[in-house]
Amino acid sequence: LEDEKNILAACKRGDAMAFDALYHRFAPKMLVVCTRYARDRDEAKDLLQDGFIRVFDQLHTFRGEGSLEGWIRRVIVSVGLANYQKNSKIRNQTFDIDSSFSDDNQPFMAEEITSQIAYSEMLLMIQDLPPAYKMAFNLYVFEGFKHHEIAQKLNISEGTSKSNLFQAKRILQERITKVMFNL
Amino acid sequence: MSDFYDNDELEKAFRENIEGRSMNLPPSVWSNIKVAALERQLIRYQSTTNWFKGVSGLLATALVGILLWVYQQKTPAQLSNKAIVFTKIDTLYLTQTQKIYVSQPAAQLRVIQQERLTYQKQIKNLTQALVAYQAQEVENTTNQKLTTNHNPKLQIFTNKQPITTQPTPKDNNQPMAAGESQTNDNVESFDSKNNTKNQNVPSVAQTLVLEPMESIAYPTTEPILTIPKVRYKAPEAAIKAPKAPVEPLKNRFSLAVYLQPEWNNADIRRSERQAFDYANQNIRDGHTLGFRAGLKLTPKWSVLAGVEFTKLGFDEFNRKLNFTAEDIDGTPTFLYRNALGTVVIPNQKLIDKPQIGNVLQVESNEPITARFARVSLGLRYNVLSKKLQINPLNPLRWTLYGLAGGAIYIPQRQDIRLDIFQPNRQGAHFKFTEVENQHLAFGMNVGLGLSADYGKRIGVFIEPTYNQTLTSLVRNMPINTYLQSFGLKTGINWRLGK
Repeated sequence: LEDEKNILAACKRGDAMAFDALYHRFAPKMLVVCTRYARDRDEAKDLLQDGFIRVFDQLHTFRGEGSLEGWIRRVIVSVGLANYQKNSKIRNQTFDIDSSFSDDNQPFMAEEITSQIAYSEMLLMIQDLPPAYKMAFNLYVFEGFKHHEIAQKLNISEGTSKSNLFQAKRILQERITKVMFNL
Repeated sequence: MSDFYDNDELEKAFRENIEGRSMNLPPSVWSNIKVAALERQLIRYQSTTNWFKGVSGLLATALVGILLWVYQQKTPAQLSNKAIVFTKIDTLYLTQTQKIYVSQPAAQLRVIQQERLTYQKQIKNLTQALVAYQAQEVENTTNQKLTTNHNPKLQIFTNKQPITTQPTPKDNNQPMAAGESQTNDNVESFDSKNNTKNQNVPSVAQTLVLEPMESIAYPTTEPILTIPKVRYKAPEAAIKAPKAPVEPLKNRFSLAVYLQPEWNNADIRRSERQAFDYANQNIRDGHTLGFRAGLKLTPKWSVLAGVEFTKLGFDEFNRKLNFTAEDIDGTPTFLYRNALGTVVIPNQKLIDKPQIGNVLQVESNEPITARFARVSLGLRYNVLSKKLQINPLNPLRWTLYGLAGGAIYIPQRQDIRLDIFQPNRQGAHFKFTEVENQHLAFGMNVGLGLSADYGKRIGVFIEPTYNQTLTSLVRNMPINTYLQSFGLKTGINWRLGK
């Protein structure tokens, strides 16, 4: 914690090396967050870049309440949300699952899934979700938002948020089943 | 929607497998961010100690200037004596000036000319009266003291000789008005063409020098009349002031001893991002013991020189540290780095020979202390001094003063006690005092002080002082450490001599 405090203090006085240290300390984890919100690696890089520029820009507003990593993550997520909202094409992309998916998939325990599927593969599964489902899944599962909060952030109804999350999980379950059974 | 998808197992699997993971960073991203941050002026490469360096440079220049000024300046007592001599004895000013500006046509000039002559007569009478009066005054006060042999001008007053004047050379096209010279029987006339005095006018040997009269230019907007100004300067011998008494050098010396609790802060600048991994301790407390000598230059200024011994305590105790073996000159070595230097942990003290990348677990269970000496030189200026006559034999004198100066910081030693835990072995306690990469540093200090001197010999003082190093206390490390401290000196002062 002391080193984080020192990095933060040095960043606030404009120390270039402190910005370097801050970026290299937190960016590897934040790139994973960006990948979850992006369609591909290039978009993830763009989100990371925009996210850290905003982090540096707003660093003076961090009051030390909570962890620095948590604050940076919230800034990165807000950049992902803004990217989703500004691109209406992405937002309106639909995915018809009714014809190609069935509900015959067997549920797996979390340990079974994590032991057999690499994290990078799971990351790709999220990345491949339709944007609206992906946003609902990310915000609900990883960021811990409630459906009314998601509805407010994405400017949709609470029911739509629930529906999008349901569809996201349905797609992911289908893909996990395929991987688990080598289908 | 079926309950199947409401279970948490899927969410849990994703959360556990993805959360906290890291990915390799593409190198181009940081370059782009850096450029953007520079454009937005979020990153500033200049050091914030630059202004300290600037201030200290100005301060040093000011100190040198003040010292030079103090040595070149004569004492205030000498100046006041000289002023008294000039005023009372040696200087006599008779000054009266009348200026008339003419812009009327030539027909009106005759009237103005008449006025001018009237003024001249009035001024002449006034001048003579004043000189006679002053001569009488001077004769009364200096008749016994001043000799006239070496002071011919003063003879005018003592012998009551008539006044002579030296009219100004006139322009060729502006002759002096008729009758002007006739009104002044004793005034020398002046030939402007030859630039010589007319010989037919008797000259007076001892002359009182009068400033020349200006010629009249008609029609003109220039002044047509200027009343002469009488000025007299006494010879050097008469104005020599008595020398101020010089205080013996021995009596101007003083010695002081003081204690100073300090509030310190280490300002650490990193030149590598990895340097943020260490030297993150804060300075907990500090104490200084100091001795200094003072030499009074003038009643207001003194020069102070001294030495101080400072002990700082770091808050790096009850901490667990991990050292990674590094390649130092081809040998895997564990290094403990802090804000004031580096300690090499000798491999002989370790049971297992380290390999590069090995991690050593260390606990710091006792406070780490650092000591350094500070050699200081500065100036003191007495702003205010008040004497309280509580006891007439030993009056109490309060003095408020300011201090400014420079200092050299000399690192001495650190006391570092570490419990080192090697893999599968018991911990061992080690003490280290030899610290490398320490460096002499230069600094500045400013302060205020309040002293109470009882009698002529002894006094006590209290001084809030701010110290700042201007150069780093460490070298050959990717960090630069600057120390800032605010201390409160309390001490006793002895004056030497009688």
